[in-house]
Amino acid sequence: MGESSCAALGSTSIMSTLLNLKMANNAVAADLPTDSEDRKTLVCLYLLGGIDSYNVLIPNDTARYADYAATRTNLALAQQSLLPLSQSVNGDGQEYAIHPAMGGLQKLFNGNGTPEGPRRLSFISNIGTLIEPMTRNQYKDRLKPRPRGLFSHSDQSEQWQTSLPQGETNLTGWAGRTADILHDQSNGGSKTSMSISLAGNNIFQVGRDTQQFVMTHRGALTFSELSGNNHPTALKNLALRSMMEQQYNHLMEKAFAELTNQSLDQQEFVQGEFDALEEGFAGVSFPDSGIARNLLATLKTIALRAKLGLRRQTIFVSRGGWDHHSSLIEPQQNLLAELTPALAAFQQGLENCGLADSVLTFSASDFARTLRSNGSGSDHAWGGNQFVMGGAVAGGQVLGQYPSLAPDSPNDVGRGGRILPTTSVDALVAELLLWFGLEGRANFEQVLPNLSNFYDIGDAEASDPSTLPIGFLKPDSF
Amino acid sequence: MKARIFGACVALTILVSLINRRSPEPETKDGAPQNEANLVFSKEPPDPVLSDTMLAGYAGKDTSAAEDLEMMARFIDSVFLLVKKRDTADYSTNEDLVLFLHGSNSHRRPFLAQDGPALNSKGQLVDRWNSPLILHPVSQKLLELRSAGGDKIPYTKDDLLWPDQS
Repeated sequence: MGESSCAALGSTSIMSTLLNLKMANNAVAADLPTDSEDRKTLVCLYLLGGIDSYNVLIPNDTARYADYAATRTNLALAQQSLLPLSQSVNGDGQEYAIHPAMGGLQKLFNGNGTPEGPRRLSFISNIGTLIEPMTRNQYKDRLKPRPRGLFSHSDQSEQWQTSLPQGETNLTGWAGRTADILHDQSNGGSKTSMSISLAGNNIFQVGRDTQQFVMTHRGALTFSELSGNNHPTALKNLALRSMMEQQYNHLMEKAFAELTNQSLDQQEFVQGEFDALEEGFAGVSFPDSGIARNLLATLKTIALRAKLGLRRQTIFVSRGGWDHHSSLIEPQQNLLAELTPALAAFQQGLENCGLADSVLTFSASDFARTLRSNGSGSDHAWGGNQFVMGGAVAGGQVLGQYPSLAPDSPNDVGRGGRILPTTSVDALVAELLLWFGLEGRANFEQVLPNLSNFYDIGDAEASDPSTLPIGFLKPDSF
Repeated sequence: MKARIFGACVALTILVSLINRRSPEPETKDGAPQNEANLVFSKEPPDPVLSDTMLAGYAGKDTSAAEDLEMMARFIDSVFLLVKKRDTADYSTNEDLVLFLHGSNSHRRPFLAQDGPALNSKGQLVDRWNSPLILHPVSQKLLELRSAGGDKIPYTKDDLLWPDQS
């Protein structure tokens, strides 16, 4: 029933286009930096609906697989079908495998032992929304504050994007708050938005002074889109253009029309640059799927960041459809089979363009799903497994504390196997932002008000990953 | 059905005034009871609970399965209207919702009768075929409801949904 409504988080509406005007307009007078060094992009891949991530990263030694199989029953994947992972020496020393449809990510995790095939991907296990660390008893006895609206889609999706599980009156996303701090400082006075969404409007990139620039896989949303036919959008666009091109006597009207026309011109400039990059520009072929088209557009947008005058950039991409109550095995297989080659092509494109070290991609989702089957699917749960991918990632590690999947394990808060997270979203975000260039305790407190409950940012030493919140970055990555 | 809704509105109004007359209950900092097991319920004769009126006739001969589901949804919405502090309350599963409706809420007040056609012997909310209702927490404000329908097998074509997805 709610499966369909889960897909309604973002929309590329006229509102997005209007919001874009503010961003694009400002770019007209932007004083673009010329320094080509030190550019970084954070890419958030949001999996809407709550991915069953205990069928993504699976324990593969005999005893722990037996626990997995006993708890998951008809949702368990056959051990012989799993793709084994080979952890680096820095991993947790346990045996893992990933879903059989994820061959492309297995290669990025394992590498091939050569400089041409480095390890680019690590997993973070049992991560989820928390206000402060807590044990199962503290959860059950309500001795520590719980995140609001646990186990519900919109609340948990919002909290992954805001890192404010206690809520706030004027809600902003952690990427938006970061942009409030970094945009002027890092983007050299450029007023082009550093927050680009390929999934409609989101809370992730909304800051006090920041809105996202919404694009589609075809590029910027422009008022000239679909011109030349009788499509209602084309007619609307023509009407708006026509209104702006009228001669106005009133000073305010005149200024508004001029400003808007400049914005439209700038959007068309962005679109022109975007279109000039042909699909094969990165020397890699993308599969034919919606998420692949969006990741290709992401790659183009990153390749254009210098022309847009951006040293720092966040990009939001999403894929819905993970809310598998009625049936898990086959639909998740299909989604992973679609997602994996798109991600692999994206990473290969970054490598080919020499951008791998300056782009960090991470996955996020509302929550993981119950370990126990509800018949043929699984329900909403809490802590789960996510990945980080990029040249700055010390690949080949399973980080965090992978929980016991045995029935009624110490982290199971009940109702079908819902696992209490042992790593907070704050920890992930803090490490991402260390790499991204956020500095200073006050700035971290502004972006992540709960961070000090988990980690003292003063402990971070770039040369020693063991001092970092999670430890997925290579030494001296920031 | 209209008479039933009118009756429910009257009952709701009375209940709101009763709740507003009561002195505030002590609460934890997140507005939820400290521990479900430690709840202390009033020893006075119980006030009429909301379900007495709003679920009257539930799963009876005068209602259809769709009307049952609507009745249950209206009842839950009304409780949510009364209990506004629900930030960290847990009602994401059938069993947790029943605890919530029986008094594990910031008002420490029961809204659901201890027995009746809406509950099975395991204390779960059920449809007219005695199958547990399936909850889908979309947000704190919206719980979608599913009845497994006459075949008693969830996620099949004869399922009934609230809000209706058709």
